[in-house]
Amino acid sequence: MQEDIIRVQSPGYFEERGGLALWLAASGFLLLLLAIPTLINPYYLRILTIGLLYAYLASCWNFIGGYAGQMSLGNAIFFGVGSYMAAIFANYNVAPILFALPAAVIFAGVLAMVVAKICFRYSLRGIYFAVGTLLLAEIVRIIAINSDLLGRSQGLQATARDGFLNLQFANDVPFLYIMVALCVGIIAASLWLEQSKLGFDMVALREQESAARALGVDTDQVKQKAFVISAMLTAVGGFMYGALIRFVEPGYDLSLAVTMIMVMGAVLGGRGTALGPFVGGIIVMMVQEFLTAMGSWVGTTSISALAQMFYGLFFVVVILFFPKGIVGQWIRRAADRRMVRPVKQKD
Amino acid sequence: MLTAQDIDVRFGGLTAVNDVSFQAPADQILSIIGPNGAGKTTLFAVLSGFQKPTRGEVHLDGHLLSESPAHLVSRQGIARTFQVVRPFPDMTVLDNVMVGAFARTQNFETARDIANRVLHKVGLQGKLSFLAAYLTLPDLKLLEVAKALATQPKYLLLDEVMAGLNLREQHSVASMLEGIHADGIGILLVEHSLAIVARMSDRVICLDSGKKIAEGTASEVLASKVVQAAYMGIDHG
Repeated sequence: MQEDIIRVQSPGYFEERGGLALWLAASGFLLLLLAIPTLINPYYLRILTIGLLYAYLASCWNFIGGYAGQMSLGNAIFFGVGSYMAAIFANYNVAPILFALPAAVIFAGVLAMVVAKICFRYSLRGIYFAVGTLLLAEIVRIIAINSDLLGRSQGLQATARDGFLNLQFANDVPFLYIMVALCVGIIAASLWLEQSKLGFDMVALREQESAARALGVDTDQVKQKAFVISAMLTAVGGFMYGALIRFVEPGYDLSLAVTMIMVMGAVLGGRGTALGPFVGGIIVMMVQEFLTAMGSWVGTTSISALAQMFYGLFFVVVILFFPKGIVGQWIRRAADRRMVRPVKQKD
Repeated sequence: MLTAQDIDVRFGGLTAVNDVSFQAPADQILSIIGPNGAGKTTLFAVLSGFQKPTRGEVHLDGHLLSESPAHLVSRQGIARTFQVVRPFPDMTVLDNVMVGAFARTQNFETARDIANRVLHKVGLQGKLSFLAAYLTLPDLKLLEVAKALATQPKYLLLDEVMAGLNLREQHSVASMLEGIHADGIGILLVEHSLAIVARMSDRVICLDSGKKIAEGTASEVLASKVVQAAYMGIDHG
């Protein structure tokens, strides 16, 4: 029986992942970013860097919320761990700011492990896991507000210090390059995951938990791994934010707003796809910037009131037309086309 | 040898399985029949680690199974299918089966080869790249078997795989299962289709209200008066 493994023409690596054109466009976009930073003004440079950060963060959330399908609303905790760690290192002159990165990643990993153990030990599923993680994030935020070490509600200023190890640069160009590298890295990691046992286990868990267990998948352990990976990667993003903005505060760094950027980016682009969260994160940034610009045109500079309404409305409309996210919908369309003309097989 | 010993399952005041024991050698096909609510599916849940028995033990080749969670029971070699099919709808047929194949390997190519082979065996080789969400019920039943088979089990526990299939489809699935059994995999069936039970079973157990009321060859059990009274509603009184 070993001999008659049939060779089947596969749908094609990129066809299954949103299409070659989309991947070329994304690569083109990233290459363009590498080429132009010195040509554009610092304001747009900063916005592009933040856009890439959103894309990266959405991809981080995608591991737990997309592939593994566990609706974590607590990822702001790990973002905050990263940004606060950067601020603490600089503010209290602990060590050069770069050393805050491994400290933040390890701390986030351990914290996530504890949270995961508690949540999954008591089988928090679906909406209960979402609410549980949301409340944990609130607890952490309230702790930060009441902690002198963490600067209470004013937050912390990351004191500027010279040198490469303090990530002190003349402009944002190095940050942009770092963010491009992080985005490429996390997309590559997602692609690798899609071909690994862990990735299959995560998707199976998302699609049908008990069926996954029947096939030998230790679903509690898979959830835990996904959560810890997502948390550690998120802490890297938080660290980059802290190092770039040099100011952290509980009202932003630990707020639901950060989590929503991650969730919306991933949902908009396509949960459980490698490229979707990247596309979604960039769109989230563009919409925010557009509304800020509109706001200042109308007379208010903050994205509040009316702008918030349009922000919400935009997402509702996109989700109505792309329930699986933009990239997710493309992938589904390709799958639909395969149904109409099934793949031919050679004998 | 899969052995169940003095299995009791109680949910509060309700006794779903009451003192059931049996032995299932891998070279036999064992069918479990009985009316709705007799405890057949609960018994399967115990054998596959999804339900802890209130009392009693399950052993596979001398190893105690009934203390292990479901995923470890599966890794020990007990693969089950579900009465109501549970595919991974947003994965392709091939990927569905690869989840099972990954139980025995870390390697992507190996898992894909195993999945391809298994899908060929159950007859789904033409639909590898379909999303499971788009399959018809007969194909979903085959997919359930393929997923379980990909874990390379010693025993296959099939919970009403024939339900919803017409007689011709039932017999073609039965032929496929007999082929699998010929490769040395023990099969336990929970089945309502008596034609299939009579065709496939080496031995039959009949449950009623959680109790084993008959055991023997298919013809013995189906001819038994207690079984006919409990299951087929034939009143000999």
